[in-house]
Amino acid sequence: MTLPRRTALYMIMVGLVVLFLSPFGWLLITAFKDPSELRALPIHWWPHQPSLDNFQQALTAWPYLGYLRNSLMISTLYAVLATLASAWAGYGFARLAAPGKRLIFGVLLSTMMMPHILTLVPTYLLFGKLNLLNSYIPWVLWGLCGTPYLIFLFRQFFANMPKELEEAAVVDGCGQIGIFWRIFLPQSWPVIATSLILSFSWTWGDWMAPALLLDDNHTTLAVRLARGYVNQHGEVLSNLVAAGTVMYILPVLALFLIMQRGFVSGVATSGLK
Amino acid sequence: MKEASSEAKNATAAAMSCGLPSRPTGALAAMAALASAETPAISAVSTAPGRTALNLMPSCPPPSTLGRTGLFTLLTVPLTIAAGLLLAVLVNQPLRGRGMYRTLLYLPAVMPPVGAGLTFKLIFDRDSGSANGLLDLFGMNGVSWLTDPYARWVLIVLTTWGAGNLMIITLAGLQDVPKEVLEAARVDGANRWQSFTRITLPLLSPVLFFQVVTGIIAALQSFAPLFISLDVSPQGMASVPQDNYLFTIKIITEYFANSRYGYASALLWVLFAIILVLTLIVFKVSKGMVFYSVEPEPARKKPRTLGDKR
Repeated sequence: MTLPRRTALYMIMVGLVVLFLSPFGWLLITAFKDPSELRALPIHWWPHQPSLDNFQQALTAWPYLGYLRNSLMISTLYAVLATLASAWAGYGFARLAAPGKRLIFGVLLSTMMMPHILTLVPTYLLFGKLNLLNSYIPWVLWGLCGTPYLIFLFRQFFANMPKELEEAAVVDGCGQIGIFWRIFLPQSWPVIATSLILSFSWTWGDWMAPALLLDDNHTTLAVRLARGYVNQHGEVLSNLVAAGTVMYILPVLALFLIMQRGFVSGVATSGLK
Repeated sequence: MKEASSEAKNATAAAMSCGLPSRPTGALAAMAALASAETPAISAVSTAPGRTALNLMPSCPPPSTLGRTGLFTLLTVPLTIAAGLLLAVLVNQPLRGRGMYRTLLYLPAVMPPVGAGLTFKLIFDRDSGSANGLLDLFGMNGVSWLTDPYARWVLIVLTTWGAGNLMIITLAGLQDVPKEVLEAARVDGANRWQSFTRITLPLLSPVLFFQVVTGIIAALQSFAPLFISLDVSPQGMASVPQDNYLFTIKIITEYFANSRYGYASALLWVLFAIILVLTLIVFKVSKGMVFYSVEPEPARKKPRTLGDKR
């Protein structure tokens, strides 16, 4: 590659990265601004007296930590259960023979095509009839059922493991459950990590299900934060919204950045191949 | 739901009692029953004059919300796919630190929808937003971005911001393009553009096709307008600007604010039918445009090797 071409390429890349990251930048800048600066004209591109006050107020204006705990609980519960259940189902689809397996797998994949919100109303009504509103049981049930995408992810991974592993285990007297727990699961930590991150982030970011099923005391941070911060006059307190949002997105972004290497390659190759 | 008038509650109760049998049924069956149970009620409702007052958005009948959803899909699907392709080609170049570029460009796709919505509300805020700040720098007057007619563009920008997701998928496809074929083309005198359009794109077509299908499905049921509306709460659906009042928003309004479960279920079935038909049409039309180097689902003898290497 020639030098001018290379330079141009780097400039385009840096420009794009700046463009894509600028919303995060503005979020951070707003989070450190004093409320008086929000009215400044022309606007302040940089907080003149950066302080952490906004964060403290965002935590206390309404019980932020309580909602955070709800979010953490639901997300962790769902992530762990969905990962285990999906690994279990994926193992079955990849390694066990059963009549009609292909058909069942086809049906499973086709449910991925079904719009999520299609089951919205009946889900609410069913859980209402079962007296499960305002509890976290729905997330336990959803988790225990696994989820098609993760089942697919695990199936693809397990299907590519060498058959000799399994045969050696059988010779050593291992049953199917033992093969899954002791041989396949310990080998699949990249997929487990991907699955945990994905299912955690889905639940962390989900607005619809908690808005439907949980009341204001039980709901998640996503639902409460979406309503934002207002003062007595009903005016939006943008600086608090920004601070609250920063704290809300931090866990998900951190989780992704820590594990991004395995994550990106795992998702990229399992979706299509 | 609390705001719903007693009349709506009665209708709902009636729909629930006749639509939900006492024995446990599957979610879909329950919904089918619901939808069909209230259908006569809907047609009766539409002719009764006073009842329209119940609608938060009487000016938003389903057809116009459908048209808006169609326009949104038509704009965002090609835009995000093109953006993903462009980004993928760029981060596939032999650059130093391209892993970092990939990660950073992917980052917005990890953003939870509520977080993304709030961030965009801050950027496009009328008084303190950076968008109006930029306009001010160029001596232009600020605008109310989050209302009609600008809200639509905010929504489209927000959707395109998450193109990193498609970048990663396209990148995986790009890396599967055999080096030998590109090399052969170069030896035969093809320039970059020619080898891109004649070799890379056809080999990439299954990946792009996959993105068209999943993109349409995702766009048709996007909730994103909700998160950049002024009041994000079950009762605040009416604050979604008219341009962003998509079919899904209509459904949620009927469901949350008007408590018309049966009607909402019927609308959901309409959406499902549209998605199904559109997907079938896309599959039909794309025949001959998508090039598979191997048969996508070859018949295999041993079920154990189903997911093995292609």
